[in-house]
Amino acid sequence: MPADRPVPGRRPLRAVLVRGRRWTVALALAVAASTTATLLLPAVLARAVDRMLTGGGAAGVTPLLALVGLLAVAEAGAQYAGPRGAADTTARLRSDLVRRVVAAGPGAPARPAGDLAARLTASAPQAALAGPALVYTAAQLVTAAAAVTGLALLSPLPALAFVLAAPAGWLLIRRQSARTAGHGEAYQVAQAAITTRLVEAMTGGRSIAAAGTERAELARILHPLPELARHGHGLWRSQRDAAWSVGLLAPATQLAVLTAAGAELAAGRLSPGGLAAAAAYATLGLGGFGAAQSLLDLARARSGAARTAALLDLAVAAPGTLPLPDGHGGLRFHGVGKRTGDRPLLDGLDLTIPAGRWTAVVGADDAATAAVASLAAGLDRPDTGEVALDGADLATLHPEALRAAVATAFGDPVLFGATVAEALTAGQDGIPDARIADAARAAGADTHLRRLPAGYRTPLDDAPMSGGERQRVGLARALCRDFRLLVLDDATAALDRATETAVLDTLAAHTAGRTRLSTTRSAAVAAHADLVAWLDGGRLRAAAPHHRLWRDPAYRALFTGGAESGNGCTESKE
Amino acid sequence: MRRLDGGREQGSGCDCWAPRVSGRRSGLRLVRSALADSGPALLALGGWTVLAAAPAVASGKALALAVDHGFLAHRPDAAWRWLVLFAAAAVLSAWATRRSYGPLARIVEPARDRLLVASAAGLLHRATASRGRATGATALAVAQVTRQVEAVRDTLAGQLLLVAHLVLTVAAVVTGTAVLAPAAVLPVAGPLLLALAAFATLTPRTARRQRELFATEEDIARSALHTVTALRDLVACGAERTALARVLADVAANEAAGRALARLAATRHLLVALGVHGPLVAVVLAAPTLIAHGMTTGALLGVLAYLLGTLEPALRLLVQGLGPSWIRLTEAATRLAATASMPEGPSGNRSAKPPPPREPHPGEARPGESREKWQPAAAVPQVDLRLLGVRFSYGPAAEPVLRDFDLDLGDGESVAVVGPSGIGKSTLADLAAGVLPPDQGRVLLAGVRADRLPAAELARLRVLLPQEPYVFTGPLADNLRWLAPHHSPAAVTDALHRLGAEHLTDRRGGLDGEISAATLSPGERQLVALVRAYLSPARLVILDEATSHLDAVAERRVDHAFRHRPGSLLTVTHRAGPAEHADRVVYLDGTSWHVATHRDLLAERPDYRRLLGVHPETAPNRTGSTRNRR
Repeated sequence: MPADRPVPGRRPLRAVLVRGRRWTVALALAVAASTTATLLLPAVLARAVDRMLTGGGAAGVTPLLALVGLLAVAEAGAQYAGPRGAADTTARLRSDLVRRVVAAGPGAPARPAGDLAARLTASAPQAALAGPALVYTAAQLVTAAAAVTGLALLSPLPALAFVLAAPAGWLLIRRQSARTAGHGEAYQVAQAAITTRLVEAMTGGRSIAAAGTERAELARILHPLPELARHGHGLWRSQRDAAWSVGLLAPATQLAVLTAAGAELAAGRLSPGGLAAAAAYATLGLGGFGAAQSLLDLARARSGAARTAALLDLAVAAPGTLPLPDGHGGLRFHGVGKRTGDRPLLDGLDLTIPAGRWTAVVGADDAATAAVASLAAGLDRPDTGEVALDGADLATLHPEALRAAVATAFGDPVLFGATVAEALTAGQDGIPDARIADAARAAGADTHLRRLPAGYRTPLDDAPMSGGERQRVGLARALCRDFRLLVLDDATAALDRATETAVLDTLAAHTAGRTRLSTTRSAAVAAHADLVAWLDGGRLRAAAPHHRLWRDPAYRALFTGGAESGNGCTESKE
Repeated sequence: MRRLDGGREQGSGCDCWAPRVSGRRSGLRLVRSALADSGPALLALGGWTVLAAAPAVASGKALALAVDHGFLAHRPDAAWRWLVLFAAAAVLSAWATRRSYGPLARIVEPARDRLLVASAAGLLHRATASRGRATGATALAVAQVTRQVEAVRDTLAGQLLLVAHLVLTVAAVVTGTAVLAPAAVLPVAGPLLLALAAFATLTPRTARRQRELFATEEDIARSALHTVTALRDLVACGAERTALARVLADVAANEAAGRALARLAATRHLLVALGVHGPLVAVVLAAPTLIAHGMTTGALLGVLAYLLGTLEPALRLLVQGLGPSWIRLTEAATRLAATASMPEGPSGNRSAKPPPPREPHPGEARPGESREKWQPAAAVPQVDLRLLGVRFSYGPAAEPVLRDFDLDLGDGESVAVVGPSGIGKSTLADLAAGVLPPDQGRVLLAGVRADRLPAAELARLRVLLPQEPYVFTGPLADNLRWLAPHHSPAAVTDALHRLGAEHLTDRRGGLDGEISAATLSPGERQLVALVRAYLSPARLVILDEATSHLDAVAERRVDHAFRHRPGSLLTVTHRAGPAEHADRVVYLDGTSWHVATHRDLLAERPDYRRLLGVHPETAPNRTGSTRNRR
């Protein structure tokens, strides 16, 4: 699978714009119409007013009416096309993204789930703003430029006044906003202090409940509150100063323009309507500063687009189509190579998992044994070579045929479904209760589940589980399925030894005669298996029963690892 | 072990702390109560906002006079004077706006304080009532509440300003028009009020759509997160297509809500057009009539300036700002109200049971030495613990964790509770500590029913130390003296020495140095809690896997210290050490319970032997995944 390759410059943005092009075009047309109308309005209004004042009758009103009508319709159209297009593009992006992620499967380059979800939920709508942001940036810049030009056409003097007054004010505002940032930071520090204390107290909730000191703890948590309020007030003060600057900028510009326009009016070079138009153009010109906001939106849209593009480019392998031939679940790795990044995990591995037996796969490299498990379960495909179940390459099998033949239990199972019972029968319908309970007993999960508030019918959210409990439920979920091959990927690693041994015993009895493959670091699992395949350097080093391999110190070292040193002082009691 | 991601909890963390109860009304009630003492500030805000809007009334007139008596009369000095007045009005308005931030801060900041206090109290209460469950989700829940409080702070201020601004702008425009040309009031106010009325009738529908959009957005977040989190498991179970279909359905629902909002946005915009351009056209059309009735050119220009310069931006703000942020405010407030609600009394009640505890993680520990009794120091009365016919289950449909359970722990005795992970040992510890009331039977502490003792009295009689200790940001000494503030520094130092925890003072500041949960290792956190328990006045000490993160030597020293402390000891463990030295052992095997000496249990129960790993037949496994057991 290709790694997250860097996406060159404009390409991701184009991918977004292509998906939303219909509505972006509609928006651009509407905005162009409304911009034109907005720019014409002062001039048309001026003419209408002048006609009225000079007794020219209602003739001048017709263009004004037409223009106001056009403006209303065009702006309403833009108000529709913008959000509609954003909703449309967001939905397309999201659908494409989630389809891609699911199709690429769990074997795709690992990304934290939270990051993937954030790209789906937050980045997609952010990217979808690209079209509107582009349109509005252009429109605002054009409007501002045209307003100043319009002003200049009316009369050069007011235009000069505008060009001198407005930018000075803008600099003033920029300086102000930098000051606000400092207070914001201190505010967040105080906020974090409260958050930290609250998390501490909630984590120690049982101690606090036992000591009965809830009230005192609350006071302790809220200790930084005055500090928070102090900086909160500071934030308001700097916002106040910013508002003051803005409050001065607009009238100052307007005053400069009106003074100049008034002088022209007095000189007879400008009509009364012209003065009204000059004031209106000045307001429009100030609106050009809005482009700064749109440019910011565009930058955000670009970063959102880059984040979604990384997923849209995920490689997806074509699913197989063949049915599974008859057999008993014998599995063969033939020259299998698998890399993660630049590191080889499996390097031409040849391995046979005999049908009807229990094989444990061990090795110093956890990532290599994990790769064996996910390849065997058909959750990932080898870079080179093939993995064949009963003679059929897993990559050529129809996904449903594959799922019907292979059940998998993980070390860190993620449970899903509304209730515990649904979590156990995930993906299958009509599994009888007796069979569910049977599987749960075989996995050692039954005792815990029966004690939940509503037993097996307890909603999953109300059934908090430790790693060990979840592992046993995950194991039970695999046992609820029909399978030819059961893959146990480190599936009992979180259990204490006594529990693990008990679970392995019942599991062995429950699955006797079927093909099982365990990857593990636990000697208990290796001892329960009929055969141990020992991987070293991405290849098979030895395959033999546990007790025979145990004589090799290098093999024993796999299971003791660093534990021996930390556990030096053995104090034998019995 | 590889890929044991403890942080990956099933179910989104947020839901367990903030139960979705109560409607929008509770949210508004919460906001209203947060604004409770803001009467004067609200008045002041109103006053400054009026002053901010008032100059607008004069500005139109000033412009009109500048034109009529200045520029058109060829008297530039007069024009200047009126224009300066026009500018002064604008500056006055800006100044009043500036002043209005003071009362605004005095309203919003205390409101934020109250909301934060209420929701922190709610979160903390729920955490103690559920006995510190689901620690992985805690940070998430707190972060979410922080965001919601900030959302209320931002939008509350925005809404207050916006509403005031709009009302006053409309009033100013209408009044200003009346001052300029009374006859123009009708063409100006007519379409404007019509537009506002129509906007008001549109608001509920907009709110509903906006809420729908938020809700579908959350649905997507939930189903998408679920799908990507569980993708491997979904594929392994052949359920990925169902999950995908669900996300796509959520995406489609979200798009539909977005479309509906877009339609409403267009409609609302037409209303703005009606509100601003309607008066504009009406005034221009009526201009000949108005002028015939004595309206001057300047007055006409002044009215037009009101419409385009003052009213238009205000109406735009209303359309773009009021809808979405009002919904944000009510949504955040509703959720905060749910968080802040206090459903149960402090001791918990029967109908709302806490969730089952989570199985403690296998830790590292070593057995201690045999216990030598000390003469009690007497300040606190002797504490006998008796459990009589105790029965407890986590729900009506659940199998009981304990039934008909009896235990007698006299002052000076020690008992170890042993059993495999997740079998109910912590539940027993909570029952014994009086934190959890039994369904049947009685728990007696010093002869009194534990569930009838007030919290302070309970804390004086016994101390419960869970596996996850409570360490708070503050001086080390404060942390250590949490349960016994009267202890002298010398006593604290002595306790540190007895428990082998002197190195805690090695950090900068020594005993007065500030510590926090994040700056200590799990083992150090447990030591802080252990020293604290040692210093507590209580004679009954209940240790629930409280030394799980200590190394062998440290645990032995701790064990020794507690055995030399006056009073009695109840130790919950799944390791052999504490069991060997206890006077008696309570063994829970999942179906029944047994009380006997360690020696007898070893002799009679193979499963007990196996649990503690003391039988040679499991030898090859000893070096397996769980270590440090022997």
